[in-house]
Amino acid sequence: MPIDWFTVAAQAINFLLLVWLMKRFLYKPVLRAIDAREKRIEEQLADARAQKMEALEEKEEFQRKNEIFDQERTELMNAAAEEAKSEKIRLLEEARASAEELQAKWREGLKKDASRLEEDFQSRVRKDVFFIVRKTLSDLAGEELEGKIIDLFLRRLETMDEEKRTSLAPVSKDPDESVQLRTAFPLTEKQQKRIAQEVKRLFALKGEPKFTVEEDLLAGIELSAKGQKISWTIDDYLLSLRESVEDLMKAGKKAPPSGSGSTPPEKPQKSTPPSEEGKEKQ
Amino acid sequence: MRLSPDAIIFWQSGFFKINATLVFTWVVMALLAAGSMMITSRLSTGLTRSRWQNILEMIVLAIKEQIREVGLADPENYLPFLGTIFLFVAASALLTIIPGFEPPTGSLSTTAALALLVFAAVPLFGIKKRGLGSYLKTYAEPTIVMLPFNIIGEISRTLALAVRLFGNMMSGGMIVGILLSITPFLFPVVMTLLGLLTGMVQAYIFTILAAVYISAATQAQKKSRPPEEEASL
Repeated sequence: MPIDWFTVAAQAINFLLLVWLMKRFLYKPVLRAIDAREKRIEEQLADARAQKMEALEEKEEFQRKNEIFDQERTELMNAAAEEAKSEKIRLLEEARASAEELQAKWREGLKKDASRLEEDFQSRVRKDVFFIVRKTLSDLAGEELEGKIIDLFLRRLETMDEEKRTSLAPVSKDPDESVQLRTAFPLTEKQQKRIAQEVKRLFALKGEPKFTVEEDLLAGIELSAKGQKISWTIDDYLLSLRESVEDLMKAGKKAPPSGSGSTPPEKPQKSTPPSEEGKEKQ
Repeated sequence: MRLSPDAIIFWQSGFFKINATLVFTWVVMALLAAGSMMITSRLSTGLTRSRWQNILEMIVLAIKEQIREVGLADPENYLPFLGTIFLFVAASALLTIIPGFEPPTGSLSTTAALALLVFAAVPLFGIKKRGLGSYLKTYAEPTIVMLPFNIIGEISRTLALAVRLFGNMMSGGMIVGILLSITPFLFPVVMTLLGLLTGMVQAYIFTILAAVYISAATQAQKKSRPPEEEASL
């Protein structure tokens, strides 16, 4: 088994050449490519780590901002709800006040209308009633009635309180002052004489009283002296009745209608002509 | 019977000749170099790369990892020499499947050349690492008495390296040749496949042994350091 030393030397050279070639075209480029790739991967990993860190920071920032935003939104919503609630209450109050005002006005108007209507009605009724009564009495007034009126007047003068009568006396003592007697109907001479006689006796007069006829008195007689007068007329009764009715009406307006309101209260003092209770007017 | 492709001489002029060993060596060299050039001319540094580049990277990284596992701390320094041994022996074995191809490693001249190169590389790497004097001292360890034995051991292992590779590669081709004359069908194919495996194993063994020798030279340097020096490192 011979060894060819030339071949050995040539193969050694060949091998060394192959080593160089491999180093030049294989190992260096491949290792360089691997190193470059590893470096690149390392860079990418580092970059990814940095991006991850950045993303985490941004995430935390975002979460923090989100929490702040949520908090602010909740606060704003609460404030808005509170404001809306108070506004609603205010508007309701306003509406209620406005409605109450309108209702009050309406009631006031209604009340005024009713009052006016009632007043008109009462006035009309009063007028009509008094007109009818007056008319009736006027138609009924005759000689017999007048005689009775004179009798009643003279009797009242007679039964008059002494003190009261004397208080009227000084007026009649004045000689210049004449006593006037007014009647709704013309008196006969006999009647005039009788009345003059009685008046002069009761009041101690020297002069004759003066007689005048006044149809407004309806049926009745009136004695006047220097601004003071004593009278008995049917008109007085009617006036008294009128006042009583008006009093009743006023009381009915103030108080709600009740059982007692159905019948007018008794006023016994009105049963007598007011002349007795001092119808004197100064 | 022809035992070596050295016997096939294409041209001769005195001492110089061109035999089949040289020619097939050049073929292997040309294939390796051209293939490397073609693939590495379009290397990608990105995440996507061609399958050829992938294969090359796998091979290179596997060799590098093997060198590191043997005990050489910086395999980049030894990769061109040891990697080329592996690639050359492996390519020679692989190409035997081509009919008419004679593996250059089937020549004792080639294996002797490779062994001699390893024989020269071991002290060179050792001296490069630790310096001439320090390296030469390792031959006299543990005592000066061991000097001749160390030298004999150095030469004998080189011889063993050359003969082992030659024997395996040559026997593979020889067995196939004998079997072809006895059973021309099927069985030689199986033996060729076995020869391929043997060739790969031999490439691995040759490379690993060379790496171990070089590693022993560099590790001997580390072991020879005094304890206080090691502590200071």
